[in-house]
Amino acid sequence: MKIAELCSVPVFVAHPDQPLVLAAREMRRHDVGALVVVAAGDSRRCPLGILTDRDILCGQVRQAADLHCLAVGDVMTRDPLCIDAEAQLAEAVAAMASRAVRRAPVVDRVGALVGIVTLDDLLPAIVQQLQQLAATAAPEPRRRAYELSPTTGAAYS
Amino acid sequence: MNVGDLCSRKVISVSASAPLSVAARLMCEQRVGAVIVTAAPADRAVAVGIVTDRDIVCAQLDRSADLSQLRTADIMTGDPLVLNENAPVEEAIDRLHERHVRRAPVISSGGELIGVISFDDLLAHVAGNLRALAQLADARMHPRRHGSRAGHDAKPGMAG
Repeated sequence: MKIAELCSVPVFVAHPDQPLVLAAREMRRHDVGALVVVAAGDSRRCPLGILTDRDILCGQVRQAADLHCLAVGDVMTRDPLCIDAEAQLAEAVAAMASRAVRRAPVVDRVGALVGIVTLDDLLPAIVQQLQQLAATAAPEPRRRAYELSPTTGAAYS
Repeated sequence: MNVGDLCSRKVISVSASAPLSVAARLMCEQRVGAVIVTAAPADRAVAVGIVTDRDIVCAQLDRSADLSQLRTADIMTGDPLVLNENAPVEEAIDRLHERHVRRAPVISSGGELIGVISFDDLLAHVAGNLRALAQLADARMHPRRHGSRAGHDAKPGMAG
């Protein structure tokens, strides 16, 4: 299964010189835990960084400055892991595990932003594969036996 | 397998009366996304809430106040789901699902706060079960590779 089919689209973005408080409001308005940071005016939207609630909080602690005095570029996590939209599920999981990140921007062949993928998106895809495997392994006679009455052997209507 | 076997025994906690700046610093230093909020009404700390990094950022937006001027109790999510260490794993999964939360403080039978169980702990546990099952399937197919004897229902001559 390709990441292009699993990732969230649309993806919300911020710019490095944007006031942090505006980015925080955007995150809340759209109810998302992260924004992808791209250069203002970059029509391809190549990811420069990622901004999470944690970056906003820890950036303030680290710089001993308030949300209202900082810009996105001051606290974002730079050089984010980007996942190719054509990558397979297993490749994305391996890449994210190696960098220990729970979310990553998804890009096309030229590096343009197309979406964002999170651990929470990948788990249901793996579970679906497992469910299909479990259904394949369950023998037909036993499945039918579950539907029989334990006392009479008659099938439930 | 019970909650007590899987939960993290390290409780990162902050007093309900502490300023939010303390909770924020703790989250960053301890590399956690949430801290347990405690109060000590009697002789021991009791979990009365949870605060996440997101809760703190939202509080800043709502109140336009300095973190040192806000109390943790003012913005925490109160009445947290609390699980007993003797609760089975299945119950923990059910309860987290019902309450739509990703973590819960864990108490001993005596009511003492002893740990935190998270979505990640439970995912790792379920994945571990699955990995063990896959190894079992593989070992039955390739007993020599696994250096173990085949199961009791293996074909004669296949035992390694």
